[in-house]
Parts: sequence; structure tokens; C-alpha cells
Amino acid sequence: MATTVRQKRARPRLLEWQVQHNWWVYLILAALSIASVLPFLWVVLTAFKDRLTAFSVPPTWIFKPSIESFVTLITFRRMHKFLLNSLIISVSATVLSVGIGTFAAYTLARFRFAGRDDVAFWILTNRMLPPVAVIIPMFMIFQTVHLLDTHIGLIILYTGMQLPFVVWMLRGYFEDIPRALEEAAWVDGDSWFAAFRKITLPLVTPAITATAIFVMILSWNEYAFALFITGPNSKTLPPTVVTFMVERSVEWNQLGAACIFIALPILIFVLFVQRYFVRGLTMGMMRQLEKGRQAE
Amino acid sequence: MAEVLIKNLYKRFGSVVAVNHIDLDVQDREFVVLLGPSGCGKTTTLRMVAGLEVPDEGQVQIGGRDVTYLAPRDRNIGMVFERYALYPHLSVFENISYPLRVRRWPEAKVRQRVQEVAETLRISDLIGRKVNQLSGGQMQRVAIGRAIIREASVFLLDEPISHLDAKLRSHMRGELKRLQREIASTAVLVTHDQLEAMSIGDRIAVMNKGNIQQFDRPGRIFNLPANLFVANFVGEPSMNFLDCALVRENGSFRLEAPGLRAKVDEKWLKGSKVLSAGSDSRLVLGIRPEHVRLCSGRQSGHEYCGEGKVYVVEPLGSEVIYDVEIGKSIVRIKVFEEEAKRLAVNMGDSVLLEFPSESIYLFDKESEKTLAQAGFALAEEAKA
Amino acid sequence: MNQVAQGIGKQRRAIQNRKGFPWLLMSPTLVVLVLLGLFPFVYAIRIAAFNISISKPYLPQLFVGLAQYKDLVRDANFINALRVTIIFTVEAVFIQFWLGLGIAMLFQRRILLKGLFRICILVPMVLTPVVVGLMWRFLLYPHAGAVTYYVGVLAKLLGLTAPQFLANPRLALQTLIFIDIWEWTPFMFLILNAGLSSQPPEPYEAAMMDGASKWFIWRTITMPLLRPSIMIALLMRTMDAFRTFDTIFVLTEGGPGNSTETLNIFLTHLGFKFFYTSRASAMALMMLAMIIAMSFAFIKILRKEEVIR
Repeated sequence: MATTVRQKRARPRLLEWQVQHNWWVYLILAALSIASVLPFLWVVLTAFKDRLTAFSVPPTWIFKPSIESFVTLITFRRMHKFLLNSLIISVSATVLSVGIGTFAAYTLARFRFAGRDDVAFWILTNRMLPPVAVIIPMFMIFQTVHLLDTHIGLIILYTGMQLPFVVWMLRGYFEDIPRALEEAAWVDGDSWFAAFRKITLPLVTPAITATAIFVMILSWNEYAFALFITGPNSKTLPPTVVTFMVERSVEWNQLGAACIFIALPILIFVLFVQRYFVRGLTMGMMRQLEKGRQAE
Repeated sequence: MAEVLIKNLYKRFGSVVAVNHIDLDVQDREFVVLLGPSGCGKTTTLRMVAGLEVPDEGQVQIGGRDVTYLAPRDRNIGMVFERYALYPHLSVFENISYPLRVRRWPEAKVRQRVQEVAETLRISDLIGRKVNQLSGGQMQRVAIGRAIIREASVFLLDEPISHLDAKLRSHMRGELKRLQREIASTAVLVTHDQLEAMSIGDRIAVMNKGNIQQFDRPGRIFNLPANLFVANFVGEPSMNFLDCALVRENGSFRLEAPGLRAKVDEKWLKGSKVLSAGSDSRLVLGIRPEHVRLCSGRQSGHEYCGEGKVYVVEPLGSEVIYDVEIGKSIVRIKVFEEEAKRLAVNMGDSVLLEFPSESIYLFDKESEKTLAQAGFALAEEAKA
Repeated sequence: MNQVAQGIGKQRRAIQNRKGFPWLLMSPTLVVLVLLGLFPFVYAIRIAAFNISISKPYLPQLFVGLAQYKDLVRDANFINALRVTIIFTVEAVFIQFWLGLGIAMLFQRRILLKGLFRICILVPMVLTPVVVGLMWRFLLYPHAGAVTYYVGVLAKLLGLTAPQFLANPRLALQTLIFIDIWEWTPFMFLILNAGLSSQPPEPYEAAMMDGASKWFIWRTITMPLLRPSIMIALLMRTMDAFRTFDTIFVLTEGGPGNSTETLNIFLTHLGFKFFYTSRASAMALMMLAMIIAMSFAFIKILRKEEVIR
């Protein structure tokens, strides 16, 4: 089955000899793709059914679409408010955690000081805490400081949650930028911050973008804390949706619509930025490993 | 006026002493080279002059001003980094003009100045390019351009040409020297390449393990090395060293090593520090490969030191290098092509070696200090 | 004179740039983390040493030292939760690893529409975990869920009873594992794909010249070179699988019975259903210790690999 070797690249990879004419590969990939996407598509489909069709046995595939569920969600359950909450909180937490974490990552990458590796490890362990563990003390603290059911409370919480990840990811990227570049800028007349702003930052921007995307996704999807720390005022989408299941008569089409509310924005977001996401992750991964080896 | 003065400079990294209380003075418009092997402290010293490291003790002065703790931007220096450190996201123009932009020079002046510098370095046609499209030699010129554009008082270079290919390197040696004269700046260059140091420097500071071994003009470093390290480091191929003992017989002195005996001039010996060093001091004989005389057969009028077997012959075009096994050591001899043809010596042949007494150096084996300089060198010094 | 004075003033400024500066830069991060990480941690330790139950405030709050931990370890529910968690983690991670690897290897070939396939395959990972949970709960709803229905039809054809996935105590855990695999295989795929893509071609070329078979090359070159990626992927997924909460909570909340009660769910019940605050804190700390120990072990193994290389 050997076909022509495509010499597009100077050194073709061993496994990439042939243009894939093997139908079985496409078959497998198609099957996987369908298996990956179909469940959610079904939910989307369900969202456009009316109450009764949504719950029909056997499941209906052809039906007259209706936006009844969406209307109910918006008018009755004020989904749009929760959507807004999610948006505000996720974006704020992303901006804050990336903004703050960048400096910490830079510090760990550049400076040699006593206790550096200990601090780095401690920052990392913060990510290992099961959120459920922290909720109890957090609940009590927030109650005392009157931060329950506020946007700010959740933003602060999410920022703290994501910081270790941001620091961990960006540290490797900063280490990759040669110190000499900053030193050249200093010699050329820049202050530390000017050099950081004009030289270092532009070079880490792809990494920061990828990290921000990651954080955005994680914040948007967060459920546990949102469930316990929020109330009617600041509730985000994930906990909202779950309340549907708690009720006795589940409105499946509304559930479907709610799922769309949550998942669609983030899906579209990822669709647009997936290039940066995958690329940043690819570049970062190998470097993380290198740094991981050396740092230990 | 831009002299650089280093006083008692000391820097330690953990338990390792990088720079060990050194003193150095660079005259205005002088080109000084810091030469030494990796880890000798030369780069650390340069970085302390630049302000990229802070010394633990000591002082750095530039133009009479104490700059020891000043940030690099306040020292009025230009620097070329080892791997150029060009800003990858900026164009050639933006890289070279960066120091001026930082100081908010008017655009028109910036453009004009960049043109001038680009012309001097012959990279005018590269100005619009992105930095990652350049070759090594081009990048290096851009780095130099960025360093000289402000006409700073001191010009620092950290192994600027080590990463170029051999041919380009030898070309750039001359270019750097010419450039320094042209812009009339004080300059300090760091390198491990002794050829580079010798050809570029007005004065060379040879460093090892954080200390300055010798700080002198190239000619003196080469001909009058202060110790064994300097003698070994400079010169290609490096000086031959043989452990030997001083023997006094019938009123005349002789140096003896396994397989060798060399006669020494008594007057020279008495004028040196060898005798005062004590009779039990062990000596190392040093002689440069180009000074050893090689003969295939006995000729009258020559005092031969020893006989040996040719171990390997390396023809290098204009010269030939012979490795001769004598006693337990190997002596390397450098001979010009014509003479090599005349000698017609091959591998495995027996040859006779002569160490002319005026070409011999003697070192103390313990302290490695030079006890006696070669006679010819002293004679030249006396004349000068 | 002026220059000297200027020199001194600037000296002080420059020194600021050197010592203590790193701590200054890190301070916002450290402050946030201390408040949100250290504080609760210390708080939890303190609570765990007592006898607090929010649901029974009338009980005296005694200092009990390590009693909570001891009781916990002997608690049958805890043991069960531990068992469920281990089964879940090991089985799910193992299967999704090999699946992800397989897909990544497929992706090394030249394929048309690769981008489209990749987007589709990544979808499960990007969906909100809660949505994933709800979605599958919907699909696997007894009798009426789409999947349940069609699998039921198939089962009837084969003469078997239709499985009621989440309602059946014996099937529930396996179902959860399946869902976890569905959701997180893309993650494995992403990381392993990145690892494979960045492998140098030279060892392969050398092996080809030595006449090695594809299988041999895979075993002796591809996999060893992939070690770092594998370790990272396994480490991250194991830690996360161990702590899975959202999906399980939404799907079964530990039921039916306690057949799917993982440590995390059990913790939630302790703390928010029964309000045994102290015991919950103690358990949370134990879980933290377990996770740290696991990651330590992983990192040690990773390091050893590199040293040998």
C-alpha cells in the first residue's frame, strides 16, 4: 500500500509517509467525532422541542422546532441575569489572576533568592486542595466578611483558585526568554519595568493568551464554589442549571436550553481561539517538562 | 574622559569566588581585553562594569565617577552581548535605534544616526528586515550598531565573535579594532580566544580563577609571561613544558630532564631569580615550539639537548608541527614549510633537538611563577 | 560635587532594584494565596481537632485531637468511598490514556480535514462538567433517555434485559467511568499529541536504517521519548480524576446507595448533609495529604527517568 512519498517538508516524519488513503482511519475518526459531538447535539435538539416532545418515548428526531424553552428560561427564570453573572465573574477573575500571576511567574523565573523553590512548590500545592475541602472554612470566612452572594467574593475566590495554574504555566515561558534581552534593554537605557513592558511581555504574549483562555474556561465552568458561595444575586450559570434537576417534574427542553446557555458561549469562544490554545499548549508542554526536569 | 577603574573588585556566587579582589585600569580610548578560560571571572568582571552584577566588595569607576551601584542605564555604556541579544520582535532599524528611542530623540535625528551607523557597519540594506531573517554575522553587526549608536563613553563586548564561523571571525577581529579606533571610545572585550586577544588588545589582562595573572601589552604577555599559566595560555601551539632540575658541574650549569640536558648561559642564570629560589626548588623548563631546533643528523657547532622519535607530523600548509617523543614527554616543534622540506623528517624517525639557551624560560614548579625569562625577550626589551 | 551627590542618590535607587524586589513583585500573588489558601488550611486543621457539628450546636465543642482522623479511618463509609474512588480513578485514567494515545498516533498521519476532526474530538473536554453530567443524566434516564432507549432496543434484540445505567447500583460506577472517559480522553489526546508532534525525526531515521519494524520502533523509540508527556498527562488526570466532583454530584450524588460515593462526594455529605464539620475538615486534610503524596511520587518517578537518561 506504499504510495508516493510527499516531499513537502524537508524531513517527513516516519509515521507520516503516506497521505492517508486508508479508509479505516477516516472511519475511526468519523466515529469518534460523532460520538464526541452527538450527545451534545441531542441536547441542543431537545432544547428546541416543546415540553411534551422533549420527553417522548421513543425519542423523536423530526419535530416542529419551538423556542418555548428559551422564552421560559428568560422570562421565568431570568437566565440572562445568570449569564451576565457568569460573564462578569469569569472575565474579571481571568484578568485579575493573569495580571497578578504574571508577575509572580516572572519573579520565580528570573530571580534567584532564598526559598524560591519552596515558594514555588507551595503555590502549586494550592491547586491540589479539593475545593470541597476549602468550602467550609471559606463559607464561614465569607459569611463574616459579608462577601457571600456578591460578585466580588466569587471573583476573589476564583482569582485565588486560578493563580497557581497561571504562575505554573507562565513560569516556564518566562524562563525561555533569554535574560540577555532584558539586560540589553537595561544597557540601552530602560528601567526594569520599561524593559519588562517593551521586551519581555511582547514575547510572552502568546503564552499569556493561551493561559488566559484556559483560565476563562475553568472559571466559566466552575460549579462547586459557585454552588455554595452564591445566592440569588450572584449565582452563575452552572449551579443554576442544576436546580432544574432537583425539581420533581423535570422540564427536559428547558434543561436542554439551559445547557445551551452555559455551554454555547464557551464553545464558541473556544472555537475562535482554539488555534492559540492548542499552539500555546504544544509549545508550553515541552518546555514545562524541560523546566520541570531542571527545576527539581 | 572615559577611563575605567576597577579597585579591589570581589564577587562570590555561593561558595565560589568568581572575582577575587582584582585591580584594573583602562586608559581613555584604550582597548583592553580580558582573556582567560571559562570560569576565570572575566565575564563577571565585565558585567560588574556594565552594572548587570553588583560586586560584594570593591569599586568601579567610569570617567572618574563612582558607578559601582548605579543601574546600567545610568552608566553611559554600550554593550555587545555574547549571543547578540537582539530584540526578536523588532526590526533591524528598531533594534539599532532602541537606545535613542528610549531617550526620546527626535525621529529625524534617530533616522539620520541609524543611517550613519548602518553605513559604517555596511548593513544599510538590512535596515527594514526582521531580525530573525539575518545570518549570524549580520546579527552581530546589528548588535554592534545598537551598542555604538549613542556614542557612549565605554564600549563593552562579551565574546562578540565567538559564535561566528572561523573565517568570519578572523575578518571581524580586524573590523572590531578598526571600529574602536574610529569611534574613539574606551573598550573592554572579553574572550577566551588568545589569538583574538593578541590581535585586538592594546593591553591584555590574563585571568584565571578570579585573579589577574598578568596585565600587559600583547607583546610582553607573549614574550615575557609572568607565570606558567600565562605562558601556557598564549601561543598556538602552546609552550612546551618539561620538569627539570638544575645541575652544577665543573662550574657550569645544566638543566636536566629525562632524555634531555640543556646548557644554560651563566650570566643569564645569575641575573634571574632561579638561584635565589633555593637549591631544592624544582623547575619547569619552558620553550615555545617555534624556538626548538630540529635536526635529522648531527652537525658540528650545535649543542644538542637530546634525541627523540617523531611521534606525529602535522602539516598545516605554511607550517609543519612535529610531535617528538623524548624521554617521557612529548615536545611540539613548529617549523616553516621550506625548512620542513629540507629536513624531510617522517613519523618514526629519530631526530635531534636543540634548545637554544636564549629561548628558554624557567618556572618554579610550586608557585608557577616565572623565575627566568627567555634571553632573547629580555634583550629585545632592553633595546626598546 | 554635584555629580557625586547625584551619584549617591542614584545609588540608592539602583539598590532598590536588587534586594527584596522579587518579594515585592510576588506580593499580590502571595497575599491572595495566603488569604485564600493558607488561611482556610490552617482553619481546617483547627476545626478538625475539635468536635464541631453545625447541625448539633448544642453539643459541647471539645478538643479531640486526632480522634476525628482515627474514627474516619475506621468508618465503613470512608473505606467504601476510598474503594470507589480508587476504582474510578485507576480504571478511568487507564482506559482514557490508551484511547487518547491511539487517537494521538492516528493524528500523526497526514489526514484531510484534520482540523475538523480535532475540533469535534475536543468538544467533550470543553463542555462544562456540570453540563456533561446533566446531559448524560438526560441521555441515560431510565427508559426515556435516548441512550437508554436505544441500548434497550438492542438488548431486547439480543434477549437481554435493558440496562438502567444510573439506577442500577452495579452499573452506576462503570457508567460514571465511561462518562469520565468520554469527557477526558480529549485531554490525554491533546497532551500526547503535543508530545508526539515535537519528537525529533533523527532517532526514527536511524532506526529505519537499522531495519527496525514499526512495532519495534514504537516500543523502543516512540514510547520512551514520550515519557515526559505521558507522565504529565497521567499526573494531571489522576489528580483530577481523584477529585472529580461536578459530574458525579450531578449524575448520581453518590447513589444509588453509596455505590458511586467517591471521597469527594462523601466529604460533601459529611459537611453539607450531615454537617459533621470537624470530621469533614479532617477528611479534607486527609485527601489533601493523599493528593500531595501522589504527585510527589509521580514527580519522583519523572525525575528518576530523566536522571537515567
